[in-house]
Amino acid sequence: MHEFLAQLVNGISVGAIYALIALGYTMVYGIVELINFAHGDVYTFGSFVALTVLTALGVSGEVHGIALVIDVCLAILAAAVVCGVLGIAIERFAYRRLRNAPRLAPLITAIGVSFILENVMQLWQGPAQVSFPAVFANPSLALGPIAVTVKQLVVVLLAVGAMLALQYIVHNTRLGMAMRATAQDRDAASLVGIDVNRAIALAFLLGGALAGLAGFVSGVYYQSAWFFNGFSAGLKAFTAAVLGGIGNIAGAMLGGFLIGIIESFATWKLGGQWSNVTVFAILVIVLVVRPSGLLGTKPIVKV
Amino acid sequence: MTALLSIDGVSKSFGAVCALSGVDLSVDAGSIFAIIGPNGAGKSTLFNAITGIYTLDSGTIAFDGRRIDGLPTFVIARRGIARTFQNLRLFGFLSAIDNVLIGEHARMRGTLVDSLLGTPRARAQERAARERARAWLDFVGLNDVGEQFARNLSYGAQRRLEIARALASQPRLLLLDEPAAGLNPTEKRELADLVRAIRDRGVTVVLIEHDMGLVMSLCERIAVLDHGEKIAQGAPAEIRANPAVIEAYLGAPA
Repeated sequence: MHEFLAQLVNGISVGAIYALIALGYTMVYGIVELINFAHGDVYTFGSFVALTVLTALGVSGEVHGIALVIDVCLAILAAAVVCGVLGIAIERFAYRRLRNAPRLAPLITAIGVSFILENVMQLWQGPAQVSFPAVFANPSLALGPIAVTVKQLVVVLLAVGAMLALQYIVHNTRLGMAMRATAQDRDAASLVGIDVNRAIALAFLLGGALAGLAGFVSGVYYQSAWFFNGFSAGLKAFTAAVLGGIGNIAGAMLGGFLIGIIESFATWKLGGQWSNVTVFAILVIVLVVRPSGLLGTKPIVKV
Repeated sequence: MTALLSIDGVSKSFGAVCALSGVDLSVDAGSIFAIIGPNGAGKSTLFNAITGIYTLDSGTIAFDGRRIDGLPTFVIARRGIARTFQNLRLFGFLSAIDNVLIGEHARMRGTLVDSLLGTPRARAQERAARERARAWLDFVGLNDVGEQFARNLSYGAQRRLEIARALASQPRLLLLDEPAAGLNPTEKRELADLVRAIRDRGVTVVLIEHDMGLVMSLCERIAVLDHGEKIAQGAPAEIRANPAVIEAYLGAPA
């Protein structure tokens, strides 16, 4: 039982990271029906931006008190802003002109952008794993029978906070409503006066910012970053988005946590080499039984 | 009277198909104007040209004295031209009131920061917009459906909702694409009353319609398109007596 709870906590922490990334896939798909394969690399970019800021602030290990709050906030802010802008730039320069092209063209372009980002990051940070400062103190807190480390708690709280903020923006602001309308019918949206390009840019901005946050969070969580991290993390987050029902925001969150938990239990019970197999096997089964994903309906409830 | 909308020599082809060729049209402010013609005559193409969905091959379109051809669709919408669609194009997964609010937003200005942070100013604006949206729903006769998803409304209600959404952007020109399609006689009468009420609020209305009874009783001016060309324009009585129009509808006399 003790081990079960520990694995559950692990799964939720890792799942929070997948969920943050999955949101970017699902929002972009919801609004332009593009699988943005460069998104995983935007997430890795966020790790490096956060690392750069922490290094510049002189953080190399545990930090405490008010300094901790300031350092963490600055790193997150930088990662989110840079990745949000990166998302917008990718859309502007790589995808916008192809918006009415056959589906395959932007898909290939997305893979190209992914390669470009990976190579830029390899030049910038080198081909090896880069270590990330262990910002948070390590002792675990006992919540009843569950032992939770500080960083796990922070990861989950940050992710859930960001998701609540996202829900608020999408459902309660004018821009969010414009984004949902654009996802449902782009032509009609522009005919009622919505600047469709801006609504699409917003989806890329929000998705990129969340990926940036995920980049910081995963750096702190794994205490490392690698230029190629985005490939596998991106693939799993994409799986999470599909599992939850691509285009559906709540689905991406659910899918992310599920993938994290499944992966964690598979590693525990079957061994680490089986975790990926299990994750993707479950994806296949879900798609066979319920092609629109867990929360997807037909037609897809977009964004 | 001054022309609110002036269309001059507008042509548009799709490959070898000439959808509009040299169409001239002038719509007076404050009128109810109908565009009629057989299927495939280019009526909807003309609406798409006016609203900027299609770029013109040649010709100009001016609204209130300013050229609008070549502008992006959302800019034309914000200048004061709203429309409805032949096949309904509501945001099905938004509530009825949110559909109307989107129309409101088109003419509201406010900064991103205001709207994200929910500053008092933004909240007050939003509350006022929501009240106006409700008033528009009342105006088109949809009093108690505000919170339902648009896709769950009856067909007739969806048609009204589309008009409410268009009106919410406070247009000076409203384009209605076959507003009576699929409506029963009672609903058609209500629609005619609604269109008159809209005109009485100072909105110029241009409609595409196949129901001749409705067109003849409602509209002051009528233009007839056939094979992408304007073959007649005038008051209902003139159109009814025009041999070219009769020929277009009934075929050449034997």
